[in-house]
Amino acid sequence: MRTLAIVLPHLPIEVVLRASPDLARGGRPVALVEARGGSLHVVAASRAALELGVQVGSTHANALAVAPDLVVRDRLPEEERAALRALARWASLALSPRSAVDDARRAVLVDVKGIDHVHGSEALLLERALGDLRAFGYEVRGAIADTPLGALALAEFHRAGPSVIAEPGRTLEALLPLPPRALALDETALKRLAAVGVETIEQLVALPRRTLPARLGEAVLERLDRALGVRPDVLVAEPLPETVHERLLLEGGTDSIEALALALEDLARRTLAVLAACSRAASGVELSFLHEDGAPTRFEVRLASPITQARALLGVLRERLDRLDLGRPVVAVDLRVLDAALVVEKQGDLFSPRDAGEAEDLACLIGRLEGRLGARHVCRAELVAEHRPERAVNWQPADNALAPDPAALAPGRRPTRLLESPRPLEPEQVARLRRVLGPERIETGFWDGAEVRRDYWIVADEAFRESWIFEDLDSGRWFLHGVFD
Amino acid sequence: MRPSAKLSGKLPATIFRASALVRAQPIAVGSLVDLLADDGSGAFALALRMAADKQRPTSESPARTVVVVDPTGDFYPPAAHKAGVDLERLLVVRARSANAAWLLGCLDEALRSRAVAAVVARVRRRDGLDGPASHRLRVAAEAGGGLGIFVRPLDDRSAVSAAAVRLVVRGSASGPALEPLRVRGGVALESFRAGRGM
Repeated sequence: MRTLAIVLPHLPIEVVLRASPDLARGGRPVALVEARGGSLHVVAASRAALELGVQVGSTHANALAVAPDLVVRDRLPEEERAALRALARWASLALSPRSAVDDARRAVLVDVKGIDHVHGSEALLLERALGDLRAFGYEVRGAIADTPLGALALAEFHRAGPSVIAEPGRTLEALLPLPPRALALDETALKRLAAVGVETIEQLVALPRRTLPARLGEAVLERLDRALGVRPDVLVAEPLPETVHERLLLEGGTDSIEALALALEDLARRTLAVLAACSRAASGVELSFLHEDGAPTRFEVRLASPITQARALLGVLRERLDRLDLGRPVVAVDLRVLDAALVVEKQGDLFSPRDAGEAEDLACLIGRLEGRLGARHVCRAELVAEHRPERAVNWQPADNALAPDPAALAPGRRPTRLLESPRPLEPEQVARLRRVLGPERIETGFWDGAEVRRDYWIVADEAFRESWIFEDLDSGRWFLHGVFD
Repeated sequence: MRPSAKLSGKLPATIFRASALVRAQPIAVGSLVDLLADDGSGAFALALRMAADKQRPTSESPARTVVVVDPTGDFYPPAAHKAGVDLERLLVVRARSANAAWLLGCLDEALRSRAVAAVVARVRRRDGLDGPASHRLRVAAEAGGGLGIFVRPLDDRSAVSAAAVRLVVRGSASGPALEPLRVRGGVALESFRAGRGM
């Protein structure tokens, strides 16, 4: 077994900053606090706060003394859990379907046995995984080792750099210099080890094995054996979200379209980055504006072609936003991918990236027009095998692909404008018109109760302006039906 | 190949066959064309033929979409098919009775898209396509790289327009005939065989 472990040491603060991009953009010092022993303690701090001297573990009061402008927030544990699962979902699509999360260690674990050749080598696989996650905005460390626990220990505690690979069969060797804490031992065991001067795993494994359970508890040996592969250490996959989902919190709520547009920009960029890392593109999204009270304002956007460009998706969403009557302040914005399509890069001219770009641009145009006008106003015209001119066109939604019927097109010339209903003509009006072409007899529809028996003529007036008229063969009356604009 | 007449800044006082404009490749991409015509003069069909020509794939560009913006809801697609437009790449934006802002917004949006080869619309007098609006659409066409072909009433001959090409289209016994009002950049007008074919 080979396992990739990716640890996100700063996940709590990153989740808060991602949810409140205004804080991140402003570079303000931010600290997260939790109640411990009757007082608030800093559990995470932004880079700006750390640079000012705020220390993780210090009290809230001390932190404020060091940085009076410190913005203090609560942790968002649910958002942290969701972020880890979203990243595991990404890993399951982009790297290997066998992916899991470790909430306590803020880590994603991926079984990469046998897939290194897909990426070239384990080193390239690791580089790609960490690169993608950094592009998503996370600070990450990673390692590949023979066991999940070994990989986790290396990812979190290896000091030589942000990534390391323990070659197959050499996990123990790689773990030896790490502190016992890397094996996620409980605090009691760690204290006992510290008391006897054990500071590395190398010193731990040098202790008589049979004495370990009695001196340190059963768990220590179990952890050590799991890390070294002596006991089975398996990835326990849990259900991962099927969709990519990003959320932004808006400080105090806002109804400013510009603020919401900025939020959408962040969401569109992040969402498509996650999809792109999985070689996917969005073909349907749901946008939700959450309010302090009451039901969220939601809408769905279905795209004619999958979109990979954040700017394009933003254009479509912005069009909807501009026409939305939110009524109440928005406290959070959710963007959920409903449908994603696999982006397959094909060789040759037939499906070149240029064609894909055209399809994406068109999907965006359709999305924007539908957002502006409503879907029923943006159509494709399907010709059907029907001689009655008023029934020869079947209007289809714009995102439907047409299947042309070769039998559909009538043989004669057709006007560019067809009147909604034929307009009666007086005999003297008809007499003044010069007949250019005709008659074209259309006699059909007896089976559906809308029978027509008509002789169509193309006629022109004295200025050679052409119209399409017909004589109703039953009544002998004449009608104007179209114009050759 | 039949002889062609090259138009430049100085216009010959010639009336051209409408079909001569169909091979309008030299019309700069990202520009506007005004066809000024009475109803029934064949100008819209001519616009569709120009759009079909722009739509075809070339070595530089894949097949692209034609957008017809139809503010009155009576555009009849079989005519587009007859004009050579690929209906699989035709998008129709339609309303029964749209106002000027609707039309201008649709034209602007469609012209800005790089997926669009040409945008065809019948622009009525009341749609108020004045100088600033026309300029805005020209900028949109430049951004998207497509051609905006607008069929406008004859009365708009004196209207301020940012179109690179403005042609009066009149019916004649042998089909629509063209009278150039403005041609920027040079347009090759070839004489084709007579016949409307649409």
